[in-house]
Amino acid sequence: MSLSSAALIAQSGLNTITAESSVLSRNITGASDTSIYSLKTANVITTPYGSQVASITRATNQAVFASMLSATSANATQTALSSGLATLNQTIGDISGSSSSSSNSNSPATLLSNFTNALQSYEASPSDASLASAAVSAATTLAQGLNGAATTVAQVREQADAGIAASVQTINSLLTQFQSVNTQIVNGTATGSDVTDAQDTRDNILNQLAQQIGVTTIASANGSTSIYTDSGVTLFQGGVARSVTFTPTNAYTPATTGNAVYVDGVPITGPSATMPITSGTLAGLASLRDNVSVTYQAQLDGIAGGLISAFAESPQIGTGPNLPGLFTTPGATSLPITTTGLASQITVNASVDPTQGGNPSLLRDGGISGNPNYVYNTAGNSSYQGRLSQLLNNLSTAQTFSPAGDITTSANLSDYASASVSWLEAQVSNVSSQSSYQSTLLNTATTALSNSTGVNLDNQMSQMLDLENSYSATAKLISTIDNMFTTLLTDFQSLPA
Amino acid sequence: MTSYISTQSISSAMRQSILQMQSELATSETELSTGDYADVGQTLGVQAGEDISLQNQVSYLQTVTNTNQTVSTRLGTTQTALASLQTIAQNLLNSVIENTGSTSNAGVIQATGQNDLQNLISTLNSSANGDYIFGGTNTGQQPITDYYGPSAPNKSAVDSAFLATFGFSQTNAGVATISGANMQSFLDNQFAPLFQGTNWTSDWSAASSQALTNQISGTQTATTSVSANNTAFQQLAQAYTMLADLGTQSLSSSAYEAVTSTAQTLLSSAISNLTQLQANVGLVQSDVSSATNQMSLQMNILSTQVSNLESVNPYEVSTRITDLQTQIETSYSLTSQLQQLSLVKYL
Repeated sequence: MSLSSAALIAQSGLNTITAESSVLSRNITGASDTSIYSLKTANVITTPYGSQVASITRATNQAVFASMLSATSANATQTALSSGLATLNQTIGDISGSSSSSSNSNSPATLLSNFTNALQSYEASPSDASLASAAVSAATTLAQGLNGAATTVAQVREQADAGIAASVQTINSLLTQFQSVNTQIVNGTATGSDVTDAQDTRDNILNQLAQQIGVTTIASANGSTSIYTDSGVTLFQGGVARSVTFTPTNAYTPATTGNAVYVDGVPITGPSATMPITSGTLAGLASLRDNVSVTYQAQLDGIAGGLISAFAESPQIGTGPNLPGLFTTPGATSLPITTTGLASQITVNASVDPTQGGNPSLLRDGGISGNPNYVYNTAGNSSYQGRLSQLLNNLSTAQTFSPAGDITTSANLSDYASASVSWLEAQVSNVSSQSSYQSTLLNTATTALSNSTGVNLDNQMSQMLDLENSYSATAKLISTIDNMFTTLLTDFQSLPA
Repeated sequence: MTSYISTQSISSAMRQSILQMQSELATSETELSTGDYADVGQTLGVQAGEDISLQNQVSYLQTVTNTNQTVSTRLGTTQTALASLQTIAQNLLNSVIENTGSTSNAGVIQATGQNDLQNLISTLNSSANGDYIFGGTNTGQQPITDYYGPSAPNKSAVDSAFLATFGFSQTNAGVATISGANMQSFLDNQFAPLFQGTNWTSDWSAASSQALTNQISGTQTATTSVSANNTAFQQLAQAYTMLADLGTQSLSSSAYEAVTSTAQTLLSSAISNLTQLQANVGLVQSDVSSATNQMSLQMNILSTQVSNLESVNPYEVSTRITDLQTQIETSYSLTSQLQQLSLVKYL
C-alpha cells in the first residue's frame, strides 16, 4: 500500500458520496410528488481499491401496489355509478315531508298521489268544473313528470356512452405510453442502466389505467410487465398493446341497446361478454348504461303503461276495443301493445285538456276518444259519479308489470310507483356507502404504498448529514495525504546532498 | 416491525381527515337546522318508498277530510230542508184534522194547500254551491217543475185527468155536483198515478233517482243526498195538489170529506217517511263527523311515522357538531405544529 493508493481510494470515496448525494436529492425532490415516487437507494460496494455506487434500486412492494390498483378500480366504478345515480335521483328530488305538510318530491309516486287526490276531490263534487280542470292539470303534471324522468334516463345513458368512448380513448393512449416505457425498461435492464424512474412512470401509467379498467399485472424476468383485465382478457403482453375498440351511440331512445367494448375483438361489457370486466370507470359506466338506467326506464314505462290502461275506455254501446282515455300517446288510435318507451310519450288527451281547447268534464262523462259509443254519462247528469268512481277503483286495483322493472310484477299503480322510489333510493344509498367504503380502502392502500415505498424527508436529511460528515472526513483525508506528501518532499530536500 | 412513514402520508392523512370532517360538519349543520336527515332518500334507501307511501296516505286522508266538508254542507242543507218540510206537513195535517166534518174552512185549507205546494217545490229546488241538492246525480237541472209556471206539464196532467173524468174543469161550478164516491174513485184511480212512476219523472221531476255517494273515509262510502223522487215527496205533492187544485172550496160535503181523508192518510204516511229520511241523513252526518275525527287521528299517527323516519335526534346532532368542531380545531393546530416539526429547521 502506498500513499498514492490511499489518495485514489479517498478520491473514489468522494465520487461515491457525490453519486449518493445525487440520489438523495432525487429522493428529496420526489418526497412531495403526488404521483407515485418510490424511494431510491444507491447500493455502495467497497473493495480494497475504494468504493463505488454499483446500482440504484427502488423500494417496491408488489402486493401493496396490486391492492392499490384494485382499490383504485373499485373506487372508480362506484364514482362513475354514483354520479349517474345522482342524476337519476333528480327524478325523485327531495322526498322529505315531515317539515312540510306535503312532500316536495317530484317523483312519479308523489305526482301520482297528487293526481289521485285531485280526482278524489272531483269525484266528491263532479259538477264542479274547476275541480275537473284541477284534476286534468294534475294529470298533465304527472304526464310531464314521467316525460321528464324518461328524458333524464336517456341523458344518463347518453352521458354514460360518451364516458365509455372517452374512457376507451384514454385506455388506448395509456397502453401506447405503457408500451414505450416498458420497452425502455426492458432495454435498460439488459444494459444495466438506471431504470428506476422509468419504473415509477410505468407504475403511474398502470395506476391511471386501473382507474379506467380493472387490471392485473404479471412481471417477467426481463423487466417487462403484462397487463390483463380483471376478467382475464389480455391488454398488454410480449411488449405489444392490444387495441380496445368501441362504437359510440349518440342518441338513446328507450329501445336503444348500447354497443359493447371490445379488447382485441373480445367483448368485455354487455350481455355478449363471456369475460365481463367488473371494476374501473368503464365497468361502472357500462353497468349504468346497460343495467341501472334500463331497469329504471322499465319502471317508468310500467307506470306510464299502467296509467294508460287504468284510464282506458270501454264501449258502452255495442262492442269494440278499449280506447285510450285521459292518458294516451300522441296520435294513438288504440291502446299500446308494449310498454317500452311509454314514459317518454305519455300525454294527456287533447280533447280533455282545457289548454288545448279540450273539455275537462269528459273525464266524468267518458267519450274522450271522440267516439259517442264510449260515453258513460248517457243521461248527461252533471253529478254523474259512476265513471270517476270506476277510475279511482282502477287506480287502486293491482295491475301486471313487466319483470324488466326488477321490482314487483303485480301491484296497484301507487304501490308500484313507491316501490320504484324505494328501488332507486336503495341503489343510491348502496352506491354511496360502497363509494365511501371503497374510497376509505383506496386511502388506506395509498397510505400503505406510500409508507412502504415513499420518501421520509427527515430520514433523507439525516442521511444527508451522514454524507456531509463522510465528505468532510474524506476531504480531510485527502488534505492529510497531501500534507504527508509535502512533509515527505520537504524532508527529502532538507537531507544533506 | 420497523416503523417507517413517508412524508407524504403524514401530510395527506391530515388533509384527508380534515376534508372528511368538514363535509360531515356541513351535513350535520343541515340536519340540525332542518331537523331531518340531510339527504332523506339516501339515508332511508329501500325505506324511501314507505316514506312516500305514508306521505301519500296523509295527503289522501287530507283530501277526503276536505271533501267531507262539502258533504257535510250538503247533508246539513238537506236535513234543514227535510225538517222544514216535515213541520209544514204536520201543520197542514193538524188543520185538516181540526176541520174534519165541516166545509166551512175549505177555502183556508185550499189556500194553505197552494202555499204548501209552492213551498215544497221551492224547497226541493234549493241549491248549495250551484248544485240542486235534491237532484240525485242530475244536480245541474232544477228537479221539480213549478206547478204554477206557464204551461206546466204537471198542472195540465191534473187538469186533463179531471176534465176526462168529470167532464168539466176544477173551476167550473159543476164541481159541487161531484159525489163522494166519484171523487174517491177519481182520487184512487186517475189522480194517484199522476204522482207515481213515469208520470212523476216525466211531468214533475227531472231528478235522477241515483243518489250521490261519497268516500267519507279511507274505507267508508256513504249515500250523501236524497233524491226528489223519494216517495215522501211524491206523497206530499199528491196531498198538497189534491187540497189546492181540485176545487176544494166548492166541493160538496161528501166529496170534500173524500179529499181531506185521503190527504190526511197521505200526509201521515209522508211525515213518517220524512222522519225516516231525516234519521238516515242524521246517521250519515254522524258517520261523516266521526270519520273526519278518525282521519284526523290517523293523519297524526301517519305524520308521526313520517317524522320518525325522516327526523334526526337534535341532541345527537348537536353533540356531533361540537365533537367535530373540537376535532377540526385540533387538526388545524396539529397541522401547524407538524409544519414546524422538520429536521430542516434545525440544520
